[in-house]
Amino acid sequence: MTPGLLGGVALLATLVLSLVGLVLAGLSWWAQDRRYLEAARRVAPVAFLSALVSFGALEWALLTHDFSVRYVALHHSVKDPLWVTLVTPWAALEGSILLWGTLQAMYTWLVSRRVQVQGSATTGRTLLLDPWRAPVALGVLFATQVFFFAVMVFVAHPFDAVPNPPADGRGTNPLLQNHWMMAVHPVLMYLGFVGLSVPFAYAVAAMVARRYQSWIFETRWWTLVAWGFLTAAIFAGKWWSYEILGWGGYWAWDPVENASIIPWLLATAFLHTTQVQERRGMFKPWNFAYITLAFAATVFGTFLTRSGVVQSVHAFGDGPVGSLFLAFLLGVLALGLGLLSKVSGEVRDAGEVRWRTREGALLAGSLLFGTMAFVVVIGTVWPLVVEALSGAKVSIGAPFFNQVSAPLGVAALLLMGVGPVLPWRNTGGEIRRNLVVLGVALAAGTAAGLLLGLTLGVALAVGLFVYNLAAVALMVGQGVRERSRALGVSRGRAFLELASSSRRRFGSHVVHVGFALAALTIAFSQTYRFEESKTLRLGESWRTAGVEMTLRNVGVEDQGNRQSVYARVEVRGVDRRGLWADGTYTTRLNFYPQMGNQGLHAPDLKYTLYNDYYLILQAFDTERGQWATLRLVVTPLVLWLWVAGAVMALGTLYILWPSPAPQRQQAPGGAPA
Amino acid sequence: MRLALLLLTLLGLALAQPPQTTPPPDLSPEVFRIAKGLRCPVCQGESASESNSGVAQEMRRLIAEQLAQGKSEAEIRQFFVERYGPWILYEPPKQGLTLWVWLSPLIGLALLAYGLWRYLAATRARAVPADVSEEEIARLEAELHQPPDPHRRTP
Repeated sequence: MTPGLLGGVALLATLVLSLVGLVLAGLSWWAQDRRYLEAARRVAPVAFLSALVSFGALEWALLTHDFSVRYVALHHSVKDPLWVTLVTPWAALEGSILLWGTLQAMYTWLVSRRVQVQGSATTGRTLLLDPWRAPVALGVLFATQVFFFAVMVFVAHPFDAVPNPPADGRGTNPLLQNHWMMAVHPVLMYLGFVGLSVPFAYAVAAMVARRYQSWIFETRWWTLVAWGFLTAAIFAGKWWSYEILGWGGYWAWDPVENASIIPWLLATAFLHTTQVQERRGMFKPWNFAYITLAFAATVFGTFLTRSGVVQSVHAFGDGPVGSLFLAFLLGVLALGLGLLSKVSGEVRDAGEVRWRTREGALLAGSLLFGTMAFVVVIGTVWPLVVEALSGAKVSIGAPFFNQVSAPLGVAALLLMGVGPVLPWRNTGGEIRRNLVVLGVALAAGTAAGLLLGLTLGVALAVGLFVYNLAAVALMVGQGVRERSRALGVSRGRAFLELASSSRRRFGSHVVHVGFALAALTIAFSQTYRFEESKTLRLGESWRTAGVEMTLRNVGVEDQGNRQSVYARVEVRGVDRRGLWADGTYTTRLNFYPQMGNQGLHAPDLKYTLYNDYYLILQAFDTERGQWATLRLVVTPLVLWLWVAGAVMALGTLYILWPSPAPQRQQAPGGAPA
Repeated sequence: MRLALLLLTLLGLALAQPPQTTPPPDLSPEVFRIAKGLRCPVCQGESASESNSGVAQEMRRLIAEQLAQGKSEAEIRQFFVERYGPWILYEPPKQGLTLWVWLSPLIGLALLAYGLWRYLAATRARAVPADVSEEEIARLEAELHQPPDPHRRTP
């Protein structure tokens, strides 16, 4: 038994099992027979196991340096460190589809555990999928699985053999070896992408079974899980890009970055509009549309990058895979939107929405996120449209996206603060005081920023941050005061009790604070980034941006799979701006044999509470090591961007964390969620 | 150390790297700012400021040179447009076909807002006037506090 054989067999078995699951789910739908459903439910864990075996076989092939497998020969080398070997399955096309498919099988299995079967107790805690919708939901998930495994079996086979196995492979793409984030970011991204397939499957089932309301409650957890993973993945990607790509930035509006933000934007819109449906039973058709578009958007990015239609640092080359993903994308859209157009006449929501209410703010917010998603899609594909229509080549990049996203971001931040303060249905005079407080916070923050000499945009970002903090403080403070008065407990205790009993509210406050902080750091780091480059001779000093840098040493180290050229620089802060920059920085250029003379930057950076000092080795004296060209990038508040990402992820986790014990149903002081 | 550098020199020669004896020119923040708006023509979606490829370095050198000659930012951008075509600019011109991209936020917002307006008009028309007063609804809501949370066991 070789890894290639085992993997190939397991792959085929997963495809067959997924097909069987799909057929059984279909039969149980057509024949309305629960025995088929029961069988389909049992296929899911077996298919997952089989997918795991094929994934394990790829790891096995990599770990045992089995170069008779083409994937291993092309993307692995005996010199690769162990952790790089372990993450190589998602370093290239075939393996990343295998990871995607395996995660899909996992989600299908998890959903299959929610299917209501005869004899399963209907506890209030777990929401079970009734037998009218379960076949459809499982069918959609199995069909997705069939797609991924069929792509692998017929087009992008991860276990294709090489007739004459080489003694050593080409090794993993050096760009991917440079940072441990490679082990984290792609997996988080796929967990988020695949996670959106679950609410989509539930939505399709809801439309087919004509039960338009309950799926919103049942998929709340799933949507939040997927959203949390997407958020974490996007921040992890920013961090990776910042630490490794050697340009001192974290977001470049590269087509693939755009493709990852589109599902996030649509999922965010969906997450907010579902609350309107939960609370008021409205907006049902929009929720069907949003989740369909969000799931389709996860496939869109793969189509863009795997088809070679756009240029991107993330592109994995071209081939027939791209067009298959396009077909799948169109299939998803046709299914979701087709069903929606069929049932929309029947979904007759009723009710009046006033704008100055919670639901008004939620709907307006979803408009902003939807608009942003639209802009990113248009901005990403428009160069193709222009070329098709006029033959001219144009570029649409960061300057465009930064300019158009700023006003939308400001509007979203404004709504984010005031929305949760507004009551549902009808706003009376009682919140006037709160609105005044918020207005004052916004004005005071902005004015303080202007007085400190910040640009208008950054001052406004400061104002919006203070305003959002004030909104959260108002809401929490009010709840705590009411509860401590009503129950006669201390304020601290009232706070803790509220925080643990209404996790959803508190978690969302935390996520909102994280988002406001992220916006603040983006405003600062985009506006006040400073960057300069200079050649220093050994011992020479360079004074700029509040620091003095002295080049101490230039040398090279043999690190096995690469040659690492380094420059050692002593940095000393010379005025208040350069505070905390002190230290010895070792910035590197790594040369990998498979990349020729193109070096990869391994910058050295120091995070401080305000500025980040980022030193890049641009060029060096190859003959005598007498000089080095250094590039200094000083960016404020980037550390806080990672803090913001962590806060958003932890807030999501807080909402999702299962409650330890049943709590009293909303004790006094807890305003309606 | 010496040995290491010798090794490096050999490595450099083996890779046919052009010997780099003259260091690249010093670059001011202004250079990077201008380079940021220009595409690196050989890269995969990186700007001339971010990329470390030879072409991007050459572009930054050209920008520094022209700044030293006293050329304005617009003139420098024009220089690159003449060389590579409008494709080199990351900010699409606000005219012709790319004007639509600049209008896309307004178009997107207008389409969605129109859809929402239509939808809300329809739901309002369908809404039956409640026979309970707003005060009663408010009182009931205050008593109920929140919609049933299906994840929570009832006490």
